[in-house]
Amino acid sequence: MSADDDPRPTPARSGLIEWFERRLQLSELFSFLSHFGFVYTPLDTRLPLRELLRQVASRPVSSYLRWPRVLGFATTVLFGVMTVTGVLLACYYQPTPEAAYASTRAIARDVPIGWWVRQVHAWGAWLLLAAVVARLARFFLEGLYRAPREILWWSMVAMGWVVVQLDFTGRLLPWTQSGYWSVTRGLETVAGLPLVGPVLTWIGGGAAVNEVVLLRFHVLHTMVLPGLFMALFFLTFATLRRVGLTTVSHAGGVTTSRDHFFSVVLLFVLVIGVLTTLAVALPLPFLRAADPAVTPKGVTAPWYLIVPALVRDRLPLLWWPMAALFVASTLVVFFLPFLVRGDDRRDALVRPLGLGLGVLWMLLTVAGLYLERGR
Amino acid sequence: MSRLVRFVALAALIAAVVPRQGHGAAAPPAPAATSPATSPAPTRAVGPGAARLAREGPVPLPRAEELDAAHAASGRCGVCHPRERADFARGQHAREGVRCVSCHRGSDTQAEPAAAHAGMTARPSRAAVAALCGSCHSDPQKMGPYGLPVDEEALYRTSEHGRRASQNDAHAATCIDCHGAHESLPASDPRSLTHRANRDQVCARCHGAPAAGGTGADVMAQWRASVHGARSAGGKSPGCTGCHGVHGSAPTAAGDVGKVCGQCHGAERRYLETGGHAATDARPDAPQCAGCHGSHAIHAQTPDSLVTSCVRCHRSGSKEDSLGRAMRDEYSAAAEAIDVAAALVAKADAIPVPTEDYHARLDDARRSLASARPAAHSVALAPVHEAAHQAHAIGDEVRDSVGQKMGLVSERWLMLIVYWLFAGLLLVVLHRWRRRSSAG
Repeated sequence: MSADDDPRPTPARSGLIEWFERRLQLSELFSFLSHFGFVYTPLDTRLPLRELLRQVASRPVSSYLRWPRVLGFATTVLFGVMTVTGVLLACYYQPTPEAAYASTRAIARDVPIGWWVRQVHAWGAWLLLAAVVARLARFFLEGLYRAPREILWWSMVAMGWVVVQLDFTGRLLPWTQSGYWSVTRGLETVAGLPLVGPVLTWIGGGAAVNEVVLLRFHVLHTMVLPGLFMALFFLTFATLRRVGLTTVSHAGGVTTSRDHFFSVVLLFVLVIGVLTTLAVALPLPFLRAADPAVTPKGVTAPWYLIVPALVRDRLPLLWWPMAALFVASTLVVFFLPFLVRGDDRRDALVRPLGLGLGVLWMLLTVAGLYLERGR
Repeated sequence: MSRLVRFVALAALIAAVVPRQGHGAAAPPAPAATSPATSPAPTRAVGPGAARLAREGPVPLPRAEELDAAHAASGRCGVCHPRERADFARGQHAREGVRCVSCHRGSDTQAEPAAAHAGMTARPSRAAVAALCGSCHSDPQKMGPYGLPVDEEALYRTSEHGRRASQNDAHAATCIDCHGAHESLPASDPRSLTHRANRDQVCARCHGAPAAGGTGADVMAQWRASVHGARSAGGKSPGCTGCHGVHGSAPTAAGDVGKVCGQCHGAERRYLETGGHAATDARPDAPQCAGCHGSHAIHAQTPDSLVTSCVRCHRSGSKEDSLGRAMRDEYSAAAEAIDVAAALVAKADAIPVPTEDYHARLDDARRSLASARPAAHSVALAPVHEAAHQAHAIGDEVRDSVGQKMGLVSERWLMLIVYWLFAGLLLVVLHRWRRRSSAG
């Protein structure tokens, strides 16, 4: 492209932005941000940044930050918080069985504001999981997996998977007694799954928790899984830009950019405020160091693995058919858009069925927590 | 295939035969060496040995090296006395040049029984045994090379066993009752009757319950159930000989109980003698250790025992009873202070705040409380208070210090309030900016 047919008007003002503008494609850099959900309107990256921003501000914005759509952006904000606190934790954490506990304790005890970083990261994990699961449930119940939102649905199911894996790998890292044994029991269950069990344990570094598994979990938790999560954000917003926002549960319609900006700040402030309040008012206790020789009483698999663990321990004869069912149901969830294929009668059948199974799973999880507690 | 089977069968046969041949070759050619277990009647079927074998059954077969030693030490006696020969071969004496005739006289070179038994003492009397053993064991020249003491016989004669044996009491224990006669071994040998692990059972053969063949009350069962018996496996807790002595064993004299116990329980003895019952009560039967703790059935005492022990002699509600309770209260107050501090430290660990120093201080407090316990033997409040106070003070100090440190955590609430104030302010400013722009 020659300078003559460049549609960009020459920057009139001469400020810092213009200084950069002459040397850098600022609008393209800005457009990168839009891939993570901060801007929704189409962008003409040929415009200079000031003009682009003025254009974006003048356009109406879908009220993306109203309930229940806000769950999507809340996931982004929470993931951002987790990334920042995670990087801070990684500055001090040492992923070896000898040093993991001591370094985590140093973070929580000796490093200034380390306690806040650790508590926010720990509570953020729960909130992130809750946001992803709630978003998945909302999309399922509103039938938002149908064409043309298949990819949105897949990326959301995959996000659910990744966030559970993040939680599972993160449990082991502090090398506390409860984390160690919870992961040990979880790994036993995962390793017993047909087909996927051997693959998952191969990725995780083995079925017995040791220094190899710890290091592997550290790599998965800090690099592979967050990378995957970010890629899924990209996929989600790229899909959204094509298929548009949902119109099923309209709440608020259209707002201005200013309102949108205000809502974004409000959300950030609220999320950090809620996390800080939880960290101060309900601090998660710092427990004893892992002792691979002593199994503590009342240790359970992570809650999302309680039902399979329960079947494996109490109904060993049913384990193989049940485990096959667990694996198959994951595939069914993933390929739900193709199974329904816009057929309204099938769709009407799928939702109550899925809701029933979900409620059953929750009831079994609660029952499992109750049963396992006494062990 | 069949060749392989044949080879294996042949190998098995050889394996079964060869050791027997080897055994036969190692054994001396004397008729006694042919296995008495399998052929109790050797070629010389007549004689007293054969008759005893027929009466008492087969004798356990000694090992080859024991047979060598036995043959050397028992001479021809073993031909007719295989059981004694085998016992003797197991013992230490057979290896030290002692022979049958050393104790029994007679001759071990004569083949004819009458000539061999001439001048022999078949069974030395109980009164004579100590002197017989002492003929070597009291001789410094003979014992010197082994580094063995030579005062055992003299000690034995002072003991209750020796006193009764000298009066020809048939029940009095002599050397051979504890050490064995023919098979005696050094105390360091685990097979020895006098080895640390077996010693108490040897005493129990006479001093155990009548049902077990003993004559006395079941002091063994009492001891086993006691705090000493329960810890005897470690070898540091006293068995019978720990208190009663070994060769000079005797019942502990009434006035000496404190000294006997004080060998290990030094602090208790010091408190007992400087301020306790022993110091204030001049009667000969003034309560000593056994008065509260018992003699054989000694159980671990806690400060709570002070409530039950005193009223065994003193009236309930008396000033002695209330003194016991007051002493108990001193200990339990200190223990409680330590517990409170420990609970607070555990709470601090869960936050976490640094507590390593406090863990060490709590250990100090627990040690201090343990070392304060003997003070109760003074039967006075002041020493108990002085001793327990230190533990109490450390507990309080840790509690206050940890509490102060945990107080710092409340700064987090301050931070939270500041955050929300800031957030509120920010939102108000932003809200006004939004309204102004939409109005404009």
